[in-house]
Amino acid sequence: MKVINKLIPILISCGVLFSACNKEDKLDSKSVFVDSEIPKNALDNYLYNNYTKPYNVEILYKYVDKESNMTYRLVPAPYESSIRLSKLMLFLVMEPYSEVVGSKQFLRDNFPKVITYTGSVPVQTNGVIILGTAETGTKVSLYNLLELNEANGKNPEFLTNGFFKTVHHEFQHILNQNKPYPSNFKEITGLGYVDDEWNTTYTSVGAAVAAGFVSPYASKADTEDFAELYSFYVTRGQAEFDAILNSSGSTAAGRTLILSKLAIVKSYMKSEWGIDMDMLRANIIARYPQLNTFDQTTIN
Amino acid sequence: MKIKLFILAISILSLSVSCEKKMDKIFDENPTDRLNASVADVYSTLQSNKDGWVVKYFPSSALEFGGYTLFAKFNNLADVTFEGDLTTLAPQTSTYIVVPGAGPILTFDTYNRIFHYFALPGYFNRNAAYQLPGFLTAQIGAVNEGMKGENDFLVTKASGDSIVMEGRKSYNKVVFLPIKSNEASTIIASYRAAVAKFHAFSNYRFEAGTESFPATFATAATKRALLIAGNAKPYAYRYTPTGLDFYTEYDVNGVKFRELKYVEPTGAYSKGYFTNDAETIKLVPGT
Repeated sequence: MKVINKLIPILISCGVLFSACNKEDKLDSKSVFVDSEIPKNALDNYLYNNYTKPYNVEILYKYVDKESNMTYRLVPAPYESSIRLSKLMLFLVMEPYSEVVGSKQFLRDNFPKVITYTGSVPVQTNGVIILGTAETGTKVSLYNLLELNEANGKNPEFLTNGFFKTVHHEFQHILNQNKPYPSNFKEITGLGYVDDEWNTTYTSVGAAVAAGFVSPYASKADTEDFAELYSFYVTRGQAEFDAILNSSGSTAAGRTLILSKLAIVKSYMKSEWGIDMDMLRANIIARYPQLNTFDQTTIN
Repeated sequence: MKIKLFILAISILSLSVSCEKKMDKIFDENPTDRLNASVADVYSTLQSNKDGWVVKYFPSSALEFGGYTLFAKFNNLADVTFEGDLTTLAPQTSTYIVVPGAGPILTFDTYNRIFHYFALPGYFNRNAAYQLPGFLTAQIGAVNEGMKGENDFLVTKASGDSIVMEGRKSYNKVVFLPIKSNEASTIIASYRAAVAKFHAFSNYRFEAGTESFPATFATAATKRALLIAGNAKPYAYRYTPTGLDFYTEYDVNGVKFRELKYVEPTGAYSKGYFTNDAETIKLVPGT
C-alpha cells in the first residue's frame, strides 16, 4: 500500500510532464531560405563551369558588402573586367598548375576557396593603395578591376603586380599551413624580420635585398618571406628576377641569403607537393607572349 | 504527509501552467518569411514602373557636395540602367540585387560609371577615364573618399508612389519617385536644362523679411550646397525644372522651406531669384 501511495504522485507527475509541453506546432515544410530567382548570366555560367565545378573555387565578381572591406570606400568591379580577369586567371594561374602537376585535383584540394573582385582599390588617407589582401588563406581579394582593360590585360607586369602575384602568394600560405616548410628557412635571416615595421625599415627593394629579402614585405615574417620568394619567382623570368636582386642598393651578401632561402622553397615545393618551381615558372612565362592574341572577353 | 501533498499539488499546478505562455503572434508569418516577402516586394516595386524612377541622391553624410537627380530603370531581376542630370553620358547598365539584412538591402553590385562615380575615391575620380562628361574635370573630395557615395541602401518604404531608402554608411535618405509615362520622353532633358540654367549662378544671398544673409558654397566645385554665416551645416539641394529642391526642410531667419521655385529676372533681380510659395524668403544669385 505504501508503495502504491508513493507511486501515485510519481505517475501523476510524469503524466503532467508529458502532457505539459506538447503544444509544439508542426515544423513548416517550407524552408525560410529562398533560392535566388535571379537568372544566371553568361559569366555566372562560365564561372560555374570553369572554376566551381573543376576547382571548387567560388568567384564573387559582384560586390557583397559583408565580403568587402568596410574600412575603405570601394566600388564594384565592372562586369566586362570581371570576364577578363576570370579568363586570364584561368590561363595564367589555374592551367599552369594543372599542367605541371598533371591534374586539377591539386588545385581543387588546396587553392583558396573564395576569390573576390573589386573595381577600385583601398586607398589610405595618405593616398597609398593596397593591391590585394587575403584572409586566413581561404579568401583572396583582388582589387583594381577598373583598370583592367584590353591593353592592361596584355601586360604581364600589370597582371602580375596587380593580381596574380597576390594569388600565388596567398596560395603558398595555404600550402605551407598544410605541410610546414623546414625550420632552417627562418634561421637564415632570423634576426632581420621586423613585423609591421617592414615598410619603414626597408623603403626600397634594394635595401630589402641587401638585408636578404626579395621585397620589403618579405621582411615582415618568415611566413611572408617564404610566400614572397615563391610568388616573385614563379611569375617572373630569370632576367627579371635577377634585376630585382640587383636593384639599386642591393648587395652580394644579401643576394646570397635570398638564393639560399630560395633553394629551400624550391626543395620544399618539390618534396612536399611534387612541383618543380622551374617548370611551373617556365609554363607561366611561356604564356606571356600569347597574351597579345589572347581572347579576354569571349565566354561560352 | 500534508506537507508532501501540498508540495505535490504545487508542483503539479506549476508544471501544468508552465507551458501555457505561448504568446499571441502579432504577425501571422514568422520574421524570416516577412523579410523574404519584403525583399520580393522591393524587387517587384522597382520593376513595376516601366518608365523608371527619378532618384533624389545626396551623397556624403555631411551633404557638402549637394544633391543630384539620377534616372533609374530596373529592366528585370538583375539589370538596372542609370542616367544623370549632371552628365550627358549615355545610359549605363549594370546589375543590382536585393538581399535580406536589417530589412531589404538594395546593392548596386557591378560597376556603373554614372552611379558609382559618387563612390569613387579621389584617387580614381581625378582620372578622366572615370569622370562624367559635363561634370567635373578634376579630383573631387579626399584622395581616399571622393564624394562618399555608396553601394548599399536599406529600403525603408517601397510602394508605387515612392521608394525610400537610406545609405548604409551615411544614413542619408534616398527617394525614388516614379516617372509618369507622359513625361518619360522629356524629363531627363528638362532636368539637364535646369542644371545648365541654374548652375551658372553664384554669389547667393538669402533675403528674409528685411534681412539679408550671404551664402557661400560648401563645395565650390559642385555648387549644390550653401553655407550661411553662423551655420556649420550646409543647405544641400538638387536642381529641378522649377527651381531648387532641398534635402530636407531648412530654416533661414525663422522662415522654413523645402523647395524654392525660380522666378525669372524682374526689377532689381537681374538674374531672377528662387522663392517659396508665400514669397517670404528669396534666394538671390549675385553678379
